[in-house]
Amino acid sequence: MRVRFSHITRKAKGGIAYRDEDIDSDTVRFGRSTDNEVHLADPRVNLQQASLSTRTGGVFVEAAGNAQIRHNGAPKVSTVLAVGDTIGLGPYDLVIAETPEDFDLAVTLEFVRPPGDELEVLKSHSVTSLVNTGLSKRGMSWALSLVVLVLFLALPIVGFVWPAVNDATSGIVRLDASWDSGELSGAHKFFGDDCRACHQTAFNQVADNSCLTCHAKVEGHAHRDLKVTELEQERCAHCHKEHNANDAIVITAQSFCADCHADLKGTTASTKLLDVRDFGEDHPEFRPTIAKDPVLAVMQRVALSDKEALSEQSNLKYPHDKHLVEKGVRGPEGIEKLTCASCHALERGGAGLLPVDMETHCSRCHQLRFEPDRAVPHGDYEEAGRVIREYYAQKALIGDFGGDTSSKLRRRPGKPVTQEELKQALEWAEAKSKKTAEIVFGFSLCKQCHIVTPPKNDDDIWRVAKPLIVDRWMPKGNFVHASHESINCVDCHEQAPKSKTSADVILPDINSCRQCHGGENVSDKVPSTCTMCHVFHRPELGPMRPDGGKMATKIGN
Amino acid sequence: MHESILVYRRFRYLKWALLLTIISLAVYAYHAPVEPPNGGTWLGYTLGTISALLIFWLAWLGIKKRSYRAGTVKLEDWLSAHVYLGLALIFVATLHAGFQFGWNVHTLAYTLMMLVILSGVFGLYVYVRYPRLMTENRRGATLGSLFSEIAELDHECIEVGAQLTDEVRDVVLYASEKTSIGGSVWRQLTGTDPEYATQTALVKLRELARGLPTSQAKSGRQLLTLLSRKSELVQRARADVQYKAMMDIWLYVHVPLTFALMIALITHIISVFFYW
Repeated sequence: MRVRFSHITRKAKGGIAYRDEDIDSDTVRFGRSTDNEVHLADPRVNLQQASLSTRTGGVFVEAAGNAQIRHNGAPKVSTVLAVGDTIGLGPYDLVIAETPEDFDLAVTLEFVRPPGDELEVLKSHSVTSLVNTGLSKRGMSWALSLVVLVLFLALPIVGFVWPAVNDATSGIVRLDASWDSGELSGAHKFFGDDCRACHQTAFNQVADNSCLTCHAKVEGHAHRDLKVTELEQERCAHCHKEHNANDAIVITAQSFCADCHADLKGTTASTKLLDVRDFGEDHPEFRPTIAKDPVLAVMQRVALSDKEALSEQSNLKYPHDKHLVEKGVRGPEGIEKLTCASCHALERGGAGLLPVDMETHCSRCHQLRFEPDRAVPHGDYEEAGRVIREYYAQKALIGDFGGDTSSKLRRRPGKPVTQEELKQALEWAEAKSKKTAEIVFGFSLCKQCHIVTPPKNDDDIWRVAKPLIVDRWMPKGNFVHASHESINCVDCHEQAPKSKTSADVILPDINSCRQCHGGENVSDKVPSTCTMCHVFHRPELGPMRPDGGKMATKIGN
Repeated sequence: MHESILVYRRFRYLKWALLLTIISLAVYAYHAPVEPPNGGTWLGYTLGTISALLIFWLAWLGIKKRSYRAGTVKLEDWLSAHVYLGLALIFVATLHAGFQFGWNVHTLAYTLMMLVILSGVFGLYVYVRYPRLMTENRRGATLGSLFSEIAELDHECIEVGAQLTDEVRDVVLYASEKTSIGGSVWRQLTGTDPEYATQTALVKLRELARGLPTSQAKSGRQLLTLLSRKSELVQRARADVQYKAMMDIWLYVHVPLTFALMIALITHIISVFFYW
């Protein structure tokens, strides 16, 4: 087979150079190997790439081994050749031309796919800087900033300005939820989804009228005529700090009170209150309010340390010592031992004690009988005197003079009572009543416990002074007995078993409390701040904000 | 002589930062508000104001250091102050919050601030550690010269490979065409490559070299030497890209988060006074 190869070389300036090479061989082989008839030097060509041979039907091209050839662009293993066909051999293209005379085949051979520059190839495969990866600081900055801006600033403001937007989204998401600065106190959680319940105006502090919607009745702290400016002008929220869960909605810190009460004259010159800083270290001795004149209801605050003045005038005589004797007292059923609880019981709620009552606590032993079948009533001395007189008058009228047989009126049946007989009977009754009243009031019964006054003349009666029993000696201190149930009564009320008179104020002094309680910062006692015993809003005073909060418009913390 | 920004001016800014931290801690310890410590007490407002001003000032430094206009303050001053005062923010801002955290924009601003600081600490770490690693790895070369050297080796490999069998030639061409340095963010940061074309080719070539006829053995050995050398250079180039990526990546966190932080901070301030 005789083949003409035209090697084409394109020049840089656009010219084309041809170099013809005639090969006469049965088979024309192409490859990188130098023993091929056509040596194709490019490394991308196989050692043996392809071969041409004549067979029935024409000239065929055939791939060698695993090598690849392309016939008009399509991969082929073997194909017959026609004029105009292009056979791709690696980077070379073989184009079939018109066959000149004396030749079996004519082809042009051109190196059409030069190898890439190794450096360019490597560079094209490599990304060596983060800048070229698509990461963008600017883009990420914008994206993140916009997300924050829209979600956390724009949406909450939109919801505030147009409540309809808030309402529309309320079931799905609360637009200003991200603005919550902390958990609400338990009592306020039920309207916690509505920020505007309290925050009514943008960029203004929560005003008192928000609070007064519910808390209009909250009482004041100091008498209004004292004109304590701070109390009248500070907002409710100055003291009641929300969004700290339950920690600060009611302030218990000692310093909160001591701020003013450590030097109260500094803010309120006319005050009669004593200064206090710390329960353990600087708190006045207790000053119970005791009765000084039970008739005129004169009460007086007396310090427990003022032993001379500390004597209560209750018009009652009650010797604790005689009732709390170790060996017991005579009761209706024999000897019985009394304890504090025999008379004193906690009231429901546990704060104070129930009043001691004659009928409930005393009358079982202290019966008011002046005759085996008759007793005087308790609590009404006029009625008591009347009961005595009527009792004996009745006896006289029915002729029963009791055990006084010598003067017993005797009369025959059917015969009317004479005036003389009547006179005798009434004289007897009068004398008997008077004598009995003397005993009942002035000796055996009433006088045991009460201050009694004998009649000033024959027309007068026995009188019993009305007692005044103070319910709470310390009305400004909320002592809770129930919290101290584990302690014996006499551990604090030490004087009780020895007290001989009701004039004693059997109240433990501050040092007794300080055995267990200290100020806010003690480490070895019960830390006790002011609010453990005292309240800020005092029920005995009028409303804190009688004008509905209009006075408290001062802006400021 | 080069002076690290950390020891700049004998730790002047470390001392300032420590002073700020210690004063904040001391006042916080002394401060006994009637409510739980929070951003709304006088100390809370004070520490919050300091923190906010610091954040905006430190962010402004980011712009400042990009301008080549020489100011009255040296770049080292700014950078040293940036590092130490930025770290002091951890304390000042935490005390401002009074350790109160929640799912809200306030804690979002705090979290973003902490992430910015954390990324800054990472940046400081790589700036202290990586330049030396980079220099050691480069051995006087640059990434560009490494690339040129790799390309030259490729060229030589192909030339030698062309004299050998088609299998050997295939391996050489594969190593040339498929080798890549760096790539995606992950590949750059980890110094990994899905193909490791050169190393794979080297392993394959060692196998093939054993089967080469004696006449080609010399070329085979030469090719192995060339490819080994290329493999080593490729690994060094990858390490170089990795170090560079590590030195750059933290800024892709630090800068965007700083912008987000500033928006969150403004939102935080607006929101607390909006709902005063």
